[in-house]
Amino acid sequence: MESTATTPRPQPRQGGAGAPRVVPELTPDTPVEERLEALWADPPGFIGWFRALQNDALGGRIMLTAFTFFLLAGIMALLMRLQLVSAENTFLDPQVYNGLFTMHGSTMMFLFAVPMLEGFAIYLLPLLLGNREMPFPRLGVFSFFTFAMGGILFFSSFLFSAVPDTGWFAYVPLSGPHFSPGLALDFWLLGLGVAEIGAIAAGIEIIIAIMIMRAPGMTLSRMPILAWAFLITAFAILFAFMTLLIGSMMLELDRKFGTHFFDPTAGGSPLLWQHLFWVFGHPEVYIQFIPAAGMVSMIISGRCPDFRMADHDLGRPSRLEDALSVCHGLLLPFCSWRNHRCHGRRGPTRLASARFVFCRSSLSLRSDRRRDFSYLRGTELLVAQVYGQAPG
Amino acid sequence: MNERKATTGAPGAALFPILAGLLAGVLLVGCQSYSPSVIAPQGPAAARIADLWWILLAVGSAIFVLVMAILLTALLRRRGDDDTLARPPSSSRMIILGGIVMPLVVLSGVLALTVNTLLALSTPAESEENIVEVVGHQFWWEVRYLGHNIVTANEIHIPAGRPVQVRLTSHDVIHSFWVPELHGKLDMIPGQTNSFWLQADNPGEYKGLCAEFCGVQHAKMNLLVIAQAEDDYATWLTQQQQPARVPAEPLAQRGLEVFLSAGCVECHTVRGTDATGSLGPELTHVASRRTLGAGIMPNNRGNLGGWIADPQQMKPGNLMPSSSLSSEELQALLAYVETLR
Repeated sequence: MESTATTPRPQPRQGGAGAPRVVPELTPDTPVEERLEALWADPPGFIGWFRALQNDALGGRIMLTAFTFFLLAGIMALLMRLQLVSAENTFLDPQVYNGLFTMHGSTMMFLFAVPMLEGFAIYLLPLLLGNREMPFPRLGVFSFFTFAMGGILFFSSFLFSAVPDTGWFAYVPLSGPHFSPGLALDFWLLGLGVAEIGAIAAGIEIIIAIMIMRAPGMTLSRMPILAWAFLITAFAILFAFMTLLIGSMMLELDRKFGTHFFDPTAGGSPLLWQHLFWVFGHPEVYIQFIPAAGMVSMIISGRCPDFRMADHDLGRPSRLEDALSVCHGLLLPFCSWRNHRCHGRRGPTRLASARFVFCRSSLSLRSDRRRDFSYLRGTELLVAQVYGQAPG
Repeated sequence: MNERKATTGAPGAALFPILAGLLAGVLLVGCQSYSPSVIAPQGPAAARIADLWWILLAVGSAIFVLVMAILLTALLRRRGDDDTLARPPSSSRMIILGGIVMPLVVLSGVLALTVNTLLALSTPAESEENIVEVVGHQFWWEVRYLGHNIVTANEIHIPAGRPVQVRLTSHDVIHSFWVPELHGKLDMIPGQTNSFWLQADNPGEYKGLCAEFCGVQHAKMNLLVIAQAEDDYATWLTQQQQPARVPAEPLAQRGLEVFLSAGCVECHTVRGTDATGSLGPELTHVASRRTLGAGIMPNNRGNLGGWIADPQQMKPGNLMPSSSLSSEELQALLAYVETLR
């Protein structure tokens, strides 16, 4: 395993960081750059391609895969546009059209936007933080493969003519066992569930990288603003996707194991799904937006000569207020997901709907609590505690 | 250097998208004659919503113009004119004013307006005598007049100029009730009743639609709100309360036999006969309705015949099965259904 001084390009048994490694001795005839290169190289060959652990290879791979899904979603969007060219067009029948818009929306949200940003973060973070690697390269690889496999499972629904067709939000009861029998929604729940696990894993790695692997002297407040954006986004991914994963599991239990979390005829609540989904869905918008805003901030401050002074330099330290505004930008959506339920409000207590606007209404929840079972109550309390919501 | 030239040539180019946007806006307004529009309100509730819409559009446009003006100033400013501008002394004041004070003021104002509108919309209707219960089905609307013993479908008659209480619920999945010219959207949720009110200023027909994806034929789940003068409305109520008459002519009598024996009664009710099914729309006065298949086509003999013969052809995925009636039976059935006025 230890490379000798006589081998010009020693092949390390494994790439990446983490494993204890004996640094080869420095001799005059092996340039140190070359040896460093070899030490950090990924394994060669086709098999090695799958075993690559380097953050740049991995980040690029995640982005490339996400881009492939993006192209597929784009093709579906073009098909839908063709259908919409004229009224009463018969290019696609309603069932196919509903399948396409469901697949398109879900792909864009789960298989493109989030993995693309995470790939970008994994690619860029070591450069931003001044270190060689991400903290857990194998966690990154795990994240990539779960994401890719989840996406493939999701898309394999086409092979079984069981294309999910209830919209990317999959509202119950339409997505429940009674109105969506068959396997379509199971492809949606399980395929995307696996991909979500990948997203969470990458989120964990991003958080740890930023928290413990910054260059000496780089305090959190001196970190580039883009790294702040990645940090906050990763936390949001953690909380948002966890909630969605729990919701997805509950729906899968409803569908295949006879529970009644969301079944109104047995005391369940269809609105509970909407809450769980939008606790994910609303922050999701910001998960996509904040890193982009971070990129713009950093590119402008780096490329614009007018800013190239003193602390406006490339990678200038983020001041506290910048960091706070980024944090604020992602905390808020966690409090305001109920905007998305505005039309579901109960009638006479219309004041309740006014409180949606204040982002902290809980009054309206009472309507669907009337027949709550304790497990529903428990879940909502849990959600409420996690997100600092006062349960009504 | 080239870059700077490109940016200094920008004013004309920058105006172009703005003009194009304005033009697109004008064209969009032209759409209102084809489909119901929230900015052409026909009732007090929709009028409040439209007012709020215009205010938000004005505020949003003003902010957009302001931001674009600042951006343009930044783009047009020559590089190196004044190095001290790199960090102008007023930058923190600008951040506090433009980034904290202005959003706070603008958003608080918008919030106050929104809450004010919501409160106005929630004012209960004056009269509670007319309560209409609307039940969402895949993919049609059941309409019940509580206290009048009237059940109809896909068509809500209301007296013009008077608020009518509407209670919304669903029989299967989540739907959303939306008559854009009269009120905002409200979800129809199984196991829960949401209520609001409808009021149209003038007699007329107002299109409505389902606004929450509810399955394969969501796009063809429309309804019609028909506002009538008081007299006409009273006449309509009386007429709808009558049970179906036994037809006089032989062909229609034969049609009634077909109706009772061909399986229609499993799903449909005609008051005054043995047909008491509850899965499909009540047909007691179906011939008096203006549309078929939940607002997708005019109610005439041709459409009705086609619908009964093969509903899956006209609205694939709806829950009505195709029938296997002979031509003679179908003609008789049509003659009978046309007596259900």
